[in-house]
Amino acid sequence: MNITASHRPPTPRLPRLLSAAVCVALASASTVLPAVEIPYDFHVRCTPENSIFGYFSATKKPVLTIKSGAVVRIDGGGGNKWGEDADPDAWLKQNGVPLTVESNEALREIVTALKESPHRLPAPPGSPAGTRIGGHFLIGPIYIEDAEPGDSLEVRILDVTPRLPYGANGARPGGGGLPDLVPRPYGHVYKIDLKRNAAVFNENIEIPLAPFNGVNGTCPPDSEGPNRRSSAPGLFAGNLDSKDLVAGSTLYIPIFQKGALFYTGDCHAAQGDGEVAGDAIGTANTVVYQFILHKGKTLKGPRAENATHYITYGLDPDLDQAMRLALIEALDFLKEKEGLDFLPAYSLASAAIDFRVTQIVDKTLGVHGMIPKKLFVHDTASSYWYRP
Amino acid sequence: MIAHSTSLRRRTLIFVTLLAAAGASRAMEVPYDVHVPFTPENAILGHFSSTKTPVATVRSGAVVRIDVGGGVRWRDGDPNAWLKENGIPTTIEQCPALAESIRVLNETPNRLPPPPGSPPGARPGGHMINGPIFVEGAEPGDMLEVRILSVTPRIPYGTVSANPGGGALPDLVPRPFTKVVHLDLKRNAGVFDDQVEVPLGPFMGVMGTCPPDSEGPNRRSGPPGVFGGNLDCKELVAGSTLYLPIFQKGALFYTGDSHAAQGDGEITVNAIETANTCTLQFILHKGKTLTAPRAETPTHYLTFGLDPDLDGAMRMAMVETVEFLKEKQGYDFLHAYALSSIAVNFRVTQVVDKTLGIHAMIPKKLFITDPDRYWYRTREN
Repeated sequence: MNITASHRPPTPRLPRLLSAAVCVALASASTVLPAVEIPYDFHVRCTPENSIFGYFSATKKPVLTIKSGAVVRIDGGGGNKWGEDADPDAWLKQNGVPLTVESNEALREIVTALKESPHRLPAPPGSPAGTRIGGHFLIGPIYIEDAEPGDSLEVRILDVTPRLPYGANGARPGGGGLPDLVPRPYGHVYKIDLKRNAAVFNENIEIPLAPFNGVNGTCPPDSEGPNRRSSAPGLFAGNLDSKDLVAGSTLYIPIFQKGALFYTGDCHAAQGDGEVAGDAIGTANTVVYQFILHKGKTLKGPRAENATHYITYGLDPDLDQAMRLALIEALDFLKEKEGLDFLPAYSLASAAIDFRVTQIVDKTLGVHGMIPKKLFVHDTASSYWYRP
Repeated sequence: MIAHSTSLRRRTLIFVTLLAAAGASRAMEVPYDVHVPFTPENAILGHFSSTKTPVATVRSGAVVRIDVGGGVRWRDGDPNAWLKENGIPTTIEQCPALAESIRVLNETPNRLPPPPGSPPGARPGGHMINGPIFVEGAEPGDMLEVRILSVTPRIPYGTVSANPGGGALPDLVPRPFTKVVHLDLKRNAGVFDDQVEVPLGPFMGVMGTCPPDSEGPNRRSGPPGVFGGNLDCKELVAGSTLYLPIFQKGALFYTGDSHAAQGDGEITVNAIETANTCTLQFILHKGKTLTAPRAETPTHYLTFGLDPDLDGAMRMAMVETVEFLKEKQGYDFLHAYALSSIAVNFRVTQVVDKTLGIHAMIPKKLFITDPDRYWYRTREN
């Protein structure tokens, strides 16, 4: 199901800015939430048709078809911690969130999408009648014209902003990084204060906001099966849960399907490296992404970049192996960038690259290598698109 | 080995005077009470001993400057020829740290016996370490706070080596390899080549109390443990604080394994290996028992996880973090666990010391009602 703006033909520079101005005006008229300030070409809304829960599909109809270079605003869902059959308003009230579904456009969209989206995995055989399978709240796919398997997709993350004034996370026995130590299911609701850039844990503790989407990926290859579940990340990226993918960063992803078929979701307001309890601060984000197609540039796995670092990823069910893969990727990167052979690259990595735990809770665990750009003294910082 | 009879203050004066008279290459900017030079007697290679005579005995609160050697990478060749060949603008005669290192390697009695079957004259090496420092009044079950006041390289270079069978990619290293990195202290830069420079962040890879008797009499210094030791944690630069459990009377603090800079992971098994002098303040906390090392910087609290398996190390770091948050904020497990997920960063300390490390970085700025009482002041960028 396409959204209205997607029917517009790609517009030249001036009209594009005008159209963005119209969208901003519309947004400010219809909602009290912060205006999205970055101009965009297309707007994908959080509707039942655009939503998909907990998996990636190569056959779902694209929500939008774009040319390389297009800037797309995508409204995501999330924050729906009230449970499949519970009353959202009662849950909001109980947790001190001063909103109702009726009064808030984002919540209205989220509740409607949850209720009406046909894009859910079938319930396993033997489930009670009416069982609905959940999972990551995703939007997509976006079809990029001319994209073919073997190409790569550059996703410039221009903006990420929470749409809700709260986020939530929790833990459950059997899940997360300490599955055996969690005595009972637990939920925590955080007030999100965009003005002060803070998530309020309690009166003594506040977490600086750093919103990002946990899931950003192209559609997995056919070898991963027809309805690949979204929980475990892979070479197509997906649920990387990489806290560095905030506004100003860039994600590079291999393409495995015609049109790339980009999906995003699993909206986070902030997260620590590791995501140890299994959840970041889950909320609903609006993102503004620019998509740039690189024909014939083949990547083995996802990479990323921000104003200060190049980032490589290692993904494996075993953390030791994930570390090894992140390291080998970093050495490959140094080979490509500086022509460094294995031994000098290995030495440099030991002296100057930081390896961090991305997450240990998505079955396929992640380690990422942070390669500081300032190591390369002749490179000019100004070649990167984002100015910090 | 230094006498402990004179008052700390007087001794400071004597040492500062001696330094100035001897034309020491760099003025030490942090005042100290005791100076432990790197001598064959003070040095110990590759292990910790609970029976070695202390190099200094100090009261809680004392500030100690400790010199350590390093940089000896010429194997059987001529040192000055090696220095020249690598473009290092010094000689053994001009550089006290190198002369001390050579003397220690030739003369120190404090090394492990050669393994059975070694050729005659084999002399085992290992980390260059200085110690132990005996802290008066320290008993097993107490805690030692080590404030890291300064860490400065003593030689104008460092080296990074890789060997087949070692490091994080033991199967992929085709031959032994050593890279020399020039240290430009003025510019705080490690010069890797014409295109690449690494910002310096000098720290001691090994800082620890003497391991408990349960670890054996001459515990090798390779793997870190709950006593600290070879933590190889790049955060432990000047301005940070390490907290260590005490397992032996007098704590018996050792330090060594001088690093000029390192990435989280330390993947080849080497940082930029150099020779440092460090100035440390020791504060004894009677009756404060720790189960594992902890640390603190101006901006973060750190907990450590140590295990032969990285998943196991991660788990220990998580449990330590949850424990820290429970102690600090009075949380139950679930609140601490939830907060850890969203605001604590878990990083790979090293994957090359047999016992691998993960450290958790808990930002201080989370605790909005805490006053800043930390001893070290940094400028905000």
